[in-house]
Amino acid sequence: PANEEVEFERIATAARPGTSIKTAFQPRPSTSQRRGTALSHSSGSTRPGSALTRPGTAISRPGSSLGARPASRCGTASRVRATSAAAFNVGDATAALYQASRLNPTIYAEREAIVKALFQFLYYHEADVQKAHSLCQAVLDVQRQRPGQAALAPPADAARTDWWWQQQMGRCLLALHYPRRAESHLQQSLAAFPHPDTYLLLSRLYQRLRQPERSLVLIGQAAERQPFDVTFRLEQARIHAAMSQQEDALQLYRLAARLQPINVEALASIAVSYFYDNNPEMSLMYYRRILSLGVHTAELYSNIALCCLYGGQIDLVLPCFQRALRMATQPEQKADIWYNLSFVALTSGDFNLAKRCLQLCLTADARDGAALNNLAVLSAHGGDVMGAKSYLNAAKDVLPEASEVNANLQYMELNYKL
Amino acid sequence: MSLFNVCSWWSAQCGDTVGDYDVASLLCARFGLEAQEKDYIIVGSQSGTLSIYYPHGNAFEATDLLLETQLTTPILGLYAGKFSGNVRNENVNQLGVLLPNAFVIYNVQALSGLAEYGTQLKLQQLAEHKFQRVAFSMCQGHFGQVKGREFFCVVHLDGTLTFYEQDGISYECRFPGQRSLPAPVVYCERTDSFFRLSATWHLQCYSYQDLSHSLVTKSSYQPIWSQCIGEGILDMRVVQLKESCSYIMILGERNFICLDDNGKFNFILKLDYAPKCFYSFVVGYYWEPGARLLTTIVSDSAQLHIYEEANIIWAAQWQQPAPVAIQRSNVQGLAGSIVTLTASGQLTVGYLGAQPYQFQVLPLNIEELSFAEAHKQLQQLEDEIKESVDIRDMDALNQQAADQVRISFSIQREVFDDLDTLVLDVPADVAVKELPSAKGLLKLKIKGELAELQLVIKTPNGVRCSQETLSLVDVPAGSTKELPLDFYMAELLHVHSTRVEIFVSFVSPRGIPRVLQQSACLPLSMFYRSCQPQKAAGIKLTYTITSKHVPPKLATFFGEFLEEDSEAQALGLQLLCPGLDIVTEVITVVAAKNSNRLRIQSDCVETFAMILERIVDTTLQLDSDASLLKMHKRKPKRGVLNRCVERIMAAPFIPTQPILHRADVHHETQQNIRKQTAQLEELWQQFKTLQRQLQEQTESEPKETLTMQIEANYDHLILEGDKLVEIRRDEHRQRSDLNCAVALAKWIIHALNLEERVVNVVNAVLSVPVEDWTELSWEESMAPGIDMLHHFGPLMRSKSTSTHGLLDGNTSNRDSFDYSRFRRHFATLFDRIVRLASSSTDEQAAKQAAATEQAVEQLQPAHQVNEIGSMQRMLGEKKSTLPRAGNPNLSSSLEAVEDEEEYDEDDLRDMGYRKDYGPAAAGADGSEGEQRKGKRSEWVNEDFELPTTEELFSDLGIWW
Repeated sequence: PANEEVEFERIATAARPGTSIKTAFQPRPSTSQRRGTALSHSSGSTRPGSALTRPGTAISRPGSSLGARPASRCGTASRVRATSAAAFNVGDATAALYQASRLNPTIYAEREAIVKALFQFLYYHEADVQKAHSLCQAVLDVQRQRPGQAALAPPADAARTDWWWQQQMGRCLLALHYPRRAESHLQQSLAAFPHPDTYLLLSRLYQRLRQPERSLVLIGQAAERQPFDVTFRLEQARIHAAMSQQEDALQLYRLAARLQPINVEALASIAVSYFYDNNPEMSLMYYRRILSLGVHTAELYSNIALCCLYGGQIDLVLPCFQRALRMATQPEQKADIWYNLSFVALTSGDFNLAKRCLQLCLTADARDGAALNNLAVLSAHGGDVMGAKSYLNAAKDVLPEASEVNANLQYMELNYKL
Repeated sequence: MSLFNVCSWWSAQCGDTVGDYDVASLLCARFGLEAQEKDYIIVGSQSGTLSIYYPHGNAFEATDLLLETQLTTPILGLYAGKFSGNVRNENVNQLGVLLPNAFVIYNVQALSGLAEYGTQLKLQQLAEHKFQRVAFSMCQGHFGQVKGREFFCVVHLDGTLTFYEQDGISYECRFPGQRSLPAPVVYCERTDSFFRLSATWHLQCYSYQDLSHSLVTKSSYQPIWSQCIGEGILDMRVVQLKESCSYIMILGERNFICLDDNGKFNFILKLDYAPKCFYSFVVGYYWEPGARLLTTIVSDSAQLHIYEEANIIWAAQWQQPAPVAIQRSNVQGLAGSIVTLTASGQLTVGYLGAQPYQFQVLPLNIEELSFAEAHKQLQQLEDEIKESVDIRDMDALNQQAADQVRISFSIQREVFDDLDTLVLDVPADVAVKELPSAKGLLKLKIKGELAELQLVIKTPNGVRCSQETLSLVDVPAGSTKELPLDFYMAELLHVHSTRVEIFVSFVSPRGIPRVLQQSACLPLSMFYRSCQPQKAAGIKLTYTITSKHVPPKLATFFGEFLEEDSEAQALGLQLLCPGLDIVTEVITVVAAKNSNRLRIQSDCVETFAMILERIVDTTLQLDSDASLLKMHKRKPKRGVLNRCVERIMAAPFIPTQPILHRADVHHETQQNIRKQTAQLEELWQQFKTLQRQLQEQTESEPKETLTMQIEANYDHLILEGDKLVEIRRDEHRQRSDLNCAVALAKWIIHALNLEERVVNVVNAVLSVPVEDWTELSWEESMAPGIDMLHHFGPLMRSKSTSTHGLLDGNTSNRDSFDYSRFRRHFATLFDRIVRLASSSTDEQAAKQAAATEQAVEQLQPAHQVNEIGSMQRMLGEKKSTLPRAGNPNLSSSLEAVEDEEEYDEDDLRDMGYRKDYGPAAAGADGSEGEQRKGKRSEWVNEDFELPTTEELFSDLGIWW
């Protein structure tokens, strides 16, 4: 239940990458040929409904796809407030006992025995980043006024004593979208003590500042210090992936999988890259390995089904999708699965079924631009040009940037006088 | 998430199954009872059960349980060591049990069994150390590096330590500063020091020397070193790996941390799971090279992770819930076994093996699909879908829906004064007026099962209902629901309609939505009280009842105020709400005695809407009740006259100016709101800028000026905000006035003698209640509709368009809303409607009239129409019928001046015409008079054209 924006120590519960395998359709030459017939009237080589899913996922459902990861992990504080706190407070019997918003930070700043726990309570449980930040501020003020904290620690440790608060300060500022201000705090903290969290926070900060090279260098240092720690390897791999250096990312995922053979994220990433590499059989092996590790999610089944579909094990495709549908709880998951199923239908040439799948996808998530676009193409194929046009316009509302939608609209403009 | 299982070798359920076991409840130790001894497993629960097991084989047998005893107090921890100095055998260990207020040391004795039930153990209490403070945990060791015996130190709940040396010496360490949270304390033999996690999450190292001497020297307790761990810890352990170095292994809440005994960090490993407990040990001997430091960590999801230093080397899964305590032990028959204890007391001795972890995916019990069957089902579903989305026959659908949910909604005609204003939360300014309220009853009878049903009761502005919505989920078939409802005034506004509408929308279990609608009228007595009829009034309207089925008596329409057989001819009604002190808003209804006409007059536009609604509705209702002809069954066609006219017809006159005046006022307030909002926005921007400046200012800069600015700005902001609230309230009031005005026009047009299409279109455009949006005011949203009517609608074919210059061409500039243009259009729209209606009335009349008259009419049709239109727009009108002495209650006050004859049709006609103030009529007096003379008998006087004030004065001077 931990919220991913606040919870940097989050535990991966689902196979992270490739959860929306609909992205997988784009680079596959076989699909484009196969669907080329269906889309004969759409503009030339542009393949509607495929590539746009990647930006689509980034916008509409953070956390579900590989491309969206950086965005999803650095959410805004307001969103945090809106989701997690409300969720926690429901059924929390103690909720009535305190009001975090009325807490006065300066009173607690000097009570060393509880202030750190209080900070964590505010930040993680209440998800009230603003309040946590002011508590940080108050504590740092107190420490500044009593230089060295001579009473408790010998002078040698003076510099070290507040790395923790500097780190939390940086954490809060990062969550509040002040990366520049967070940087100095995190650097100070890192200079005082090389805590792994500080490295990760700084790395995210540099990514936020669009300096992935810098975060690579930093994480490289950390990985050198602790070569056994998979966390850093994974972070490196993610940065590479975000910089679209898939090869490097893959190398690092392999390394991580060697260091920790049960690491699901690494395994899933390798599987995805095999899938993109036109090697669904290898990909399937990795997914089955993940399955045998006990991961049991709708996304995983969906991915396995797709691997089966393209690996030729047709008999397993629908059972896997059935399982996926049965396990899907979120509307987004259902939308993804139905979207993927529409490709199964297309592969078997049943356009009617494909249309229905897409419509079901839209009932689960009405703002699925990819589904709208594909539905438009299918409608146009079936002769309903006006319907296609309105679907395309709806798709454009959802994904104004997507090149496929625009290309299709242009094509329509050119070839049909509407 | 692992590939292998932790295999179970031996397992037993401890006596206390309630489940009070924690990390300190498990101990594996030897007591030195026999030569080839292996580890005993000792378990002590928090409810005081102490058991000692000695596994003999790979399955639990009764003989494996050597001791089971129940202590009176909870067991907080179990320890084995050389706690007693006077034992000769140096291999013998004593069992120490930590209780909340004591530490008890037992000697373990074996009673070898003669029979097959085997050996038993017996506990012999050696010593008991009592203390006052409640214990949290304990730490043992060769403090001061003494040989052959062990001392121990109890950690209390308030964080203080009590040291016990065996010679009975004990002393207490209270750490300075704030009361600290209890945390585990461990002892490192190599450096003879203690490690303790302080409440600030610092790991502190104290030497035993310091601690034991500080009591004597009163020196403060200074840690040798202190390191910030930065998180709470679950457990801590010291292992010696090398001659020169011991390691402190710490299992934090998120990280696994290892420090050496000098306070240098060896590693911090971020855990990607939630840890529960851990155990660290050394394989090999520390004085030999090649000793390996191994750690097993148990995760919350029952996985065992084994690390060598920080590198993961094995992961395995338990098939049972995650244990709370783990130990590595050397039991008989299985060296290096993993002993675990779950929270419910399940004790397991396990080992690692290559037995693969079988993740069993639960089989899906999906029935084999029969294609024929499925096809049939699909067909059926599709039929159902088709049926439910087929909207070709709306009547049948609505009928079906109405059958499914039977609604009966009625409002009593009586009004009540016993409204509980407190319970219903009526605002004080309304409650003080003690306005009457009405009671209604809503009955729902649900025939078929429904997934969801929502009921919305829509009342006119100002009126509130005691229950406005109702939603039901999963309604079973055959259920009924009765709702008694109260209707009462909640705001002091002009009400434009008495109609209360009920919308019932429901979704069947198959997901088919349907909506039903019903309405009922509130009694007029809720809004009016009868009063003396007024003689003169600014606005006068006339309706002619043309239906044969409706008796043109006032009692027909106003049952609330008049007895059924009352012959009253005039009725004065005063608006109760808003009930201003300055003006009394009175409306008078007069029935002509010998004709079917009704005149409605008032000075105030707001009074009309409900009265007209009542008259028109009642007439149509009575007529359709009586006759077989159903109005709504016929489809309107081009050229068909308004069918309403067959029952009731309004004289073609619309009080345009007062209506437009309401729009003017409303528009002006709208403008004010926009201005005010813009100003607020500006102030708000300022406010934000100042706040930001304050945020960005560094500590050293003075803040006084900025603070002052912010305060001033804030006060201003609040002030302007209050103003906006005030204007909004005004706007609300004016909107309801406008509602009344528009409704008035609507009801007149409804009964005008026009083409039915025109009536429908115009009434559709003039929808009430009027709505304002933040982006778009009512005027702006109306403008396109009105514009449309001008340029394209059926009204465009009016004969006299040219004279009014309606098409002012400049329609391209759509962005800016031009109110004056809108107003002009609105006025001409009314004008034109009136003219059309008059001309058609005219034509109708003419057809019946003599040929000569027809000829006259045809000579100057346009001119004539104009004049009539403008004539009827006059304001101050004749007063004639007013005090009709109709209401028996009022007759006394009415002075009964006029004789009944006055209401004869002829008399009314003779009263003559009212002069028109309009410029069009001014110059055309002569011809007008001529025409009038010709047509008088047919139509003119039917409109109750009234005498001038002067005429009134002269004719009816008696009134004044």
